Amino acid sequence: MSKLGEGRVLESVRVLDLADASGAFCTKLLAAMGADVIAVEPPGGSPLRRCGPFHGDALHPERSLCWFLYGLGKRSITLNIESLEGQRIFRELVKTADVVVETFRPGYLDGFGLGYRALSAIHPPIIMTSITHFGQTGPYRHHEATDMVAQAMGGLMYQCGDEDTPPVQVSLPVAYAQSAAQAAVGSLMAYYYRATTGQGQHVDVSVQECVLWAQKPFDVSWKAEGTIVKRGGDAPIMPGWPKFHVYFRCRDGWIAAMPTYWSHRVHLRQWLKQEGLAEDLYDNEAYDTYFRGEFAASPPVEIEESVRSRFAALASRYDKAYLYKEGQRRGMQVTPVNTAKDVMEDEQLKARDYWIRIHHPELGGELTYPGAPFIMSESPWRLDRRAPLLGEDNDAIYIDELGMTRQELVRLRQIHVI
Amino acid sequence: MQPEVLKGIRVADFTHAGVGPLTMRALADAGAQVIKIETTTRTEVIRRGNPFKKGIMDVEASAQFAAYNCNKLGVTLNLRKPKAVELAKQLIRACDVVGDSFTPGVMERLGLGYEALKEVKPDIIVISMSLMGQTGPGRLYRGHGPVLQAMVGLSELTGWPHLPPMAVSIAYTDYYAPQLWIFAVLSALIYRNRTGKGQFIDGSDFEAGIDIMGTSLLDYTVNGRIATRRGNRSSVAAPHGCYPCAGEDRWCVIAVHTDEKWRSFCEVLGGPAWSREESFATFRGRMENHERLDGFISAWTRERTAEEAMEMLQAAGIPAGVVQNSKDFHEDPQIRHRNHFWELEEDPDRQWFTYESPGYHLPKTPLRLKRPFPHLGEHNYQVFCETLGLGQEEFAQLVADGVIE
Repeated sequence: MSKLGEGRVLESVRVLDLADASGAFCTKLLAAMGADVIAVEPPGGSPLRRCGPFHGDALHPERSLCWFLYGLGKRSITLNIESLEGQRIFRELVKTADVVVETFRPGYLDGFGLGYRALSAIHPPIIMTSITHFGQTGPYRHHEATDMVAQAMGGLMYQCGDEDTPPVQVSLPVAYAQSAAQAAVGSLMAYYYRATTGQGQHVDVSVQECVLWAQKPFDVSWKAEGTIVKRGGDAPIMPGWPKFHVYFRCRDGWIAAMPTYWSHRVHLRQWLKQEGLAEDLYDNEAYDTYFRGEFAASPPVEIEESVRSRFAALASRYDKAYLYKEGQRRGMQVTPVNTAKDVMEDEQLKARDYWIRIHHPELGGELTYPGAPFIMSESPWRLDRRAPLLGEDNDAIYIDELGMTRQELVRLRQIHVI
Repeated sequence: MQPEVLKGIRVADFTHAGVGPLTMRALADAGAQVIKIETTTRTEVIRRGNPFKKGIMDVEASAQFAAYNCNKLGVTLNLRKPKAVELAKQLIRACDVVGDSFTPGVMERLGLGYEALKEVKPDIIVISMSLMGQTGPGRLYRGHGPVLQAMVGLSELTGWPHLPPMAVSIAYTDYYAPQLWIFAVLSALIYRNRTGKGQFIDGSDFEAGIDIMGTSLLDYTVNGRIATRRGNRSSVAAPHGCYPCAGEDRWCVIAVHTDEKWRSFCEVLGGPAWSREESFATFRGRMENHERLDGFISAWTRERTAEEAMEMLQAAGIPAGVVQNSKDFHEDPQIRHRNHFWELEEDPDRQWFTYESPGYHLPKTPLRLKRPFPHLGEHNYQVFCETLGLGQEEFAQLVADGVIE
């Protein structure tokens, strides 16, 4: 791999990070691009520190894998913004900052005089990115929600599951993955605009709307044809498309494949033939037409079924690693249904040097983390420092930068401001 | 008219299908002039795929194409002809960003690889979005969203413990990766504005998708645990699930995290006798008896609409929501309040398609819909003659020669 440049896109940008799980990935991305991201944590620690899983299952705020993952490359100070002194200190910090990212319910920060209007009055260039489940305003703004509720209200959950099962959540906070990623985009757009005009603004992110944005194929079905797309297990049942069969059981798990994808059918027939599963697939005009693979022709259900069941028989003979390699070698869309273990062992990711190793002195070793989601040749993504301990940078920020004395810091600690 | 974030930025869009066009579209939504380069010799798959306006197949009536490609101009070039490649380079000289989603190697073979484009415009920003990246043993592997989400690990974590893996929508990763690509392009623009340097962005949809997996990978490497799908359960809330409501295929999700919320929840349900059972009094008890609990809760939810159930529970501060479908969204008051669905009044022919806002709103520089998706080659004259300054005769000749299609 050719050597990457050393540029840092967001050098000299400071981010005050008050985000929970719905936004922590946003600030992590900003840190990876070079920003000085300071997690402003309550004295008892960010709620992320209480999220499992935990290192060695130790229920400890310095052992949360959630904090480890999303805190990479960040600094940490403690501050109780619910106290008057804490609010005063926060305002001082804001004057040194470019972006504030927060996920409190609408009105919470305003109540302390720390909302966008108040902060932009003392520091006009400030960009505030607020992530809430439904947005800052509107009839649902005060609705209580979780990632599952957002998956439901955003339309994702309706599509997951099968014809004869209830809708099912994804067993991962995918709504928050979407909202945090979109918040990062919105924040950068605001920063880009500010770079030419000096003006900040209040970026208003709705988790529900982020999830809904990801529903395009279904929304278009409603608008174009008035159909509501139904759950179909392997894939939602799109009107006018044959039912997708994507998951096939194999010897040691599952593979995902689109074996009857129109332009790959010729490869499929060859593979079936070599596996002794292609009797009468060659003598029949209907099959010949099918395997010629013309797009947009909806194949007869009996042919699709017959071909699909032969492929299922093929898949059941082998392991997923073999099917993956062999299928791809034959030019077909075949992938394993990966578990976490499979992903960690994936050859392509290793060849790309995708994983990063981060040193944890407190644990006496290194941990492996996901690496760069994109490779930029001049100004790459880079994280090389473990997530901070609680208040690890109190001295550096409060004493070295803001000029507090040691006694002042001790006093503020004692009264739970810091 | 409010200002636009990316006003003055011009983008050459060689992408197709979902991920690439969605990435390019976001730049257009933010004010960039995005020129989509297509060919009539082989119109892209999405133009030829369902659903269509009124169900009739027509490359100018694909609803997915409309949603992914609004706000763009469209030109048609036959890039197999050397003159078309020259014209593409001329266009790129006037651009800031070039995006493609070809299989690695295709742009190089066309003579439009990053090294070649740097000679045309030294500070050009190029983003190439592919399934597995520009390098590595899997660089030429085939796959679309439906199999990619299995690759990153999403399918394994979707569905019921006793049933096969299931899909997250059609291809959830197809709607996640674009966020990382837009972020990368914006980063490159910020960097270029400061340093004058362009760069190459290698985007692997697979690598981008892994960030969705959150802590599940760490849980394996650190604790040796391999996560799997758990239906609608949670490890931190009980009850936590999806409950049937009155009507056909209508559901409400409910999440109760603490004993205090449990008490409020029981009050909302009218304090029925079963709710006072000892086994439900604690979180642990509720987890252990979850199926029985679900049965009681379903009896309550079945008697009301999903909306009623949600409102009653929200009034008591309990997380609850309707499992909404496409029809619901056009009636959802919060979605309407967010002006999520953009309207296009002036173009009755393309007006009926859906155009949507992203989930981030920038009040000073709002993203918006300015034009519908382009017809094939709709802006050939505007781009090649008006913007690039080709003469009328030259243009006519290039059309006659099939360079401009």
